[in-house]
Amino acid sequence: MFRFWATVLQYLGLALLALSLNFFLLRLAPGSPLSGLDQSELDAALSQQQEERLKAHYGLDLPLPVQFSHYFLRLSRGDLGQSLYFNQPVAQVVWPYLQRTLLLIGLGFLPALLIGGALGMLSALNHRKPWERWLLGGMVLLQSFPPFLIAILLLVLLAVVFPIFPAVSTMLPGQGLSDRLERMVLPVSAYALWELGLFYLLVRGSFLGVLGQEFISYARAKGLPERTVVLRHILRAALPPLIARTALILGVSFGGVFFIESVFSYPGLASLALTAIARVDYPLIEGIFLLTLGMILLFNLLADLLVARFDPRTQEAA
Amino acid sequence: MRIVALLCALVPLSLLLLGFVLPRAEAIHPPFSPPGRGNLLGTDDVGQDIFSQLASGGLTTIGVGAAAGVLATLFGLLVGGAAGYWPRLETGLTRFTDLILTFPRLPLLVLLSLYLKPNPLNAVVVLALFGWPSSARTVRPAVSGLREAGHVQIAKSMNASGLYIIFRHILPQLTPLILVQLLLEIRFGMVAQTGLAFLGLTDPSVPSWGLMLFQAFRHPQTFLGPYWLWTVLPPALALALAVLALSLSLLTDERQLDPRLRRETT
Amino acid sequence: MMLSVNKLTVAFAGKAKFAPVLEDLWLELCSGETVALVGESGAGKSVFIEAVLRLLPASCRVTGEIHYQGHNLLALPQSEFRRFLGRELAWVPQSASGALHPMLPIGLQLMEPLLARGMKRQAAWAEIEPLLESLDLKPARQVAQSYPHQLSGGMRQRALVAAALAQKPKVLLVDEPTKGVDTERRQQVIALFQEAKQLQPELSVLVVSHDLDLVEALADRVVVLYAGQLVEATSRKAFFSEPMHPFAKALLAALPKNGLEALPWAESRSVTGCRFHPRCPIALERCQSDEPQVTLHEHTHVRCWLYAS
Repeated sequence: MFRFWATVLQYLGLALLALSLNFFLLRLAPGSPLSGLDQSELDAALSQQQEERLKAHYGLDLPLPVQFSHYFLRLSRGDLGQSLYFNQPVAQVVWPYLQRTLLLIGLGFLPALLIGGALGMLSALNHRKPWERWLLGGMVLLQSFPPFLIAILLLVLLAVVFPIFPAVSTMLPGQGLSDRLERMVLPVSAYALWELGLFYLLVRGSFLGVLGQEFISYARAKGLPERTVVLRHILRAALPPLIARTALILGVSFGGVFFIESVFSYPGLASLALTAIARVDYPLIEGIFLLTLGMILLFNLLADLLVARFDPRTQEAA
Repeated sequence: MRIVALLCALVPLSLLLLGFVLPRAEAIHPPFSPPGRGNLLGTDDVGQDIFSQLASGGLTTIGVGAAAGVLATLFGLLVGGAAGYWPRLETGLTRFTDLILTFPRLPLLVLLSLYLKPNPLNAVVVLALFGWPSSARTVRPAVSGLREAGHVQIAKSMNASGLYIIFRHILPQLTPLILVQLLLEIRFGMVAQTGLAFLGLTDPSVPSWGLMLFQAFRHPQTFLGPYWLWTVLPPALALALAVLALSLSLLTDERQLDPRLRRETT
Repeated sequence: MMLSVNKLTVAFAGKAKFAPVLEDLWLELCSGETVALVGESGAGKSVFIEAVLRLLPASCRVTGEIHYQGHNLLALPQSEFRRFLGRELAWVPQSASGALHPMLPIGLQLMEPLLARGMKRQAAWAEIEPLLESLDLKPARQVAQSYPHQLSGGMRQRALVAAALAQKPKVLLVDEPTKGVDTERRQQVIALFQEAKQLQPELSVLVVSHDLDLVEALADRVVVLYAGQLVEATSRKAFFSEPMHPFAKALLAALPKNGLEALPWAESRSVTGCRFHPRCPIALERCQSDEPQVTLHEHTHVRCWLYAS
């Protein structure tokens, strides 16, 4: 129990740090929080009224400590502020986009984990065979490709050269389910392909690490069938770090999926963020940033807790 | 494998060299002309020559990637070396490194590039700022392994300073490891720079491969139909080849891949 | 005859320029008998056990024959060979903390071989429980539910012995049971195996060790290995009262510990002539050039020019 709270506390600290970073970066950047833009650009992008609202949102006229406490009070109420462009609460604007991003990740994650994991397992059990080396090499290269490059190559191949799937995944209100699904094939595949290499290397590595251990030789020497050795002994030992790294990858995938979405104009968080950036909608940008960060930290926290749950050595003796 | 890597590197490297020589692309040609006379790789939607964009874009992408990679590696060596050499610093610095590593890099990169002016110099600084932890993490155990080595002890007994020992006696022994790390960091820098540019978060007046992709993907019309052949393919291919060259040269380094499965023989 | 080993040679692929790790070893183990395999570390003792259990990596070349009840264990297909493991041949590995799976409860690890041959859980537990009690792992149910890290080092080792005995094996292969164990606990380990022998008197035991106290307490016969070769094979009595090979004499005088430097592994395998001659106090001239063969003198097999006729 102590460990549980220690982990939770650690992540709370990390979240606090991230929030403070967000706060200070914004204010300590030279000039206004909008220093990335010149005054003229700002004028072009925002109306006078919007600019006023923006200044009120940040409370820039108040002393820094007061701003700081306001900022945290606001966030602790779950209030992410008001979007300038959509003229709605940020949380409300973000929610449907977040759902679609989660759907994309969810659909791509499972096949990537299953196929990549199975290949990684096979690879580890056939270590050093010639075909295994080729598979490994291929996966290392695949994994080294940035997600947007995979997405672009996939799009060019399957939507332009061989126009099988739609190239643009925008969703319109009137579309039927099959139409929507068809539009998800390419982004989901691109995402799955990108994660495939990661999962393959991850599973292969942790299996190899376990395979060399003496307790695996011992399990074999006990005359257990190979199935039991693999599924009970090897998998059981490889699982805790695997779960942790999988959750980490899920966290990282919020970054990768960003690029994939924008290649296919998929209406997820990325497209919303890009709209927000184009419209200089800072509360919305901030909201998306904090949300993404929160998701990633949540996944990391989950990873840590799951590892503790699965590894008896980290639990206290009952 | 090394030969294939070298062949892959040929294209991006010659583009880099040409980037120094060729003049900047200007919108003086008819838009969307196909590859051929006058414009080797055709022109884009506003009539800029693709080939000269590719060359000057290579200068930015590879330049920013390499500079960020070198900086990140150096910083990682410093932190990792200090953590590995001085036991008193070890726990603190390791914790700090892990903390930065758990921080999601990409959203932060996006946020920072919004707050800072989107010029290449800032990109280098920001990328280096997020690249170093992985180097520090690789270097630390290697340095602490050499801490007790004979020649290090001798240097210590001669009252050499810690930093001097780290940089003159320990790190030179880790050259292969550091080289691998440097390539990884450069790869990260290049990919991240292209990614930011692809999202339209860099200065639109500084050409780069990512910016070319960003412009190509702004409207479906620019990459559907026959145009993708010269609006999308050249920058995508250039980046793919650069990544491949780096990855392939890393692939030859077995230690990167294989958590060894060797058993004690006696 | 339970186990008979003939011309067993093990060579590692990467070390072709050296003599094999284990060379032309022959050894016989009768029913109910305990044979000790003695020698310095690096002599190839543990490799022998791994060769019998076919645990060596594929990069090792294993030749020769290991006969067990009319089967050549080395020639059997893996699926048939596995039938002997966990039933007839049981292994007590050297390190109890490394051999037990850290994330599975002890009880399951002990019952597994029984479950694998189709026994029901309850029947398996009925076999295990008295064993745990008699090996002082009490209360048995609680020990069975705990994980390895929750037990002391001594308990883990007793658990390994219990795991082996639960399989009701014919042959027990024990690897260095007292390595890294302090003097006080060594006596307990020795007593543990004496107890095991009492529990199953018809058990044949092959124990690999360099601990001569343990050998004297447990072994009926002693086989001495040096640099991968058998140099002496004799009864316990003869070994302790009148050792013949100079290395056996040195072992008994505890010379490897105080004074007689062990050679590095690679060096010990690249000696011409008798492998022991660089360290032998009474080496003859021919020892440097010619390799001696094993010859029989009264009840002792010995590989040394001193006894060549």
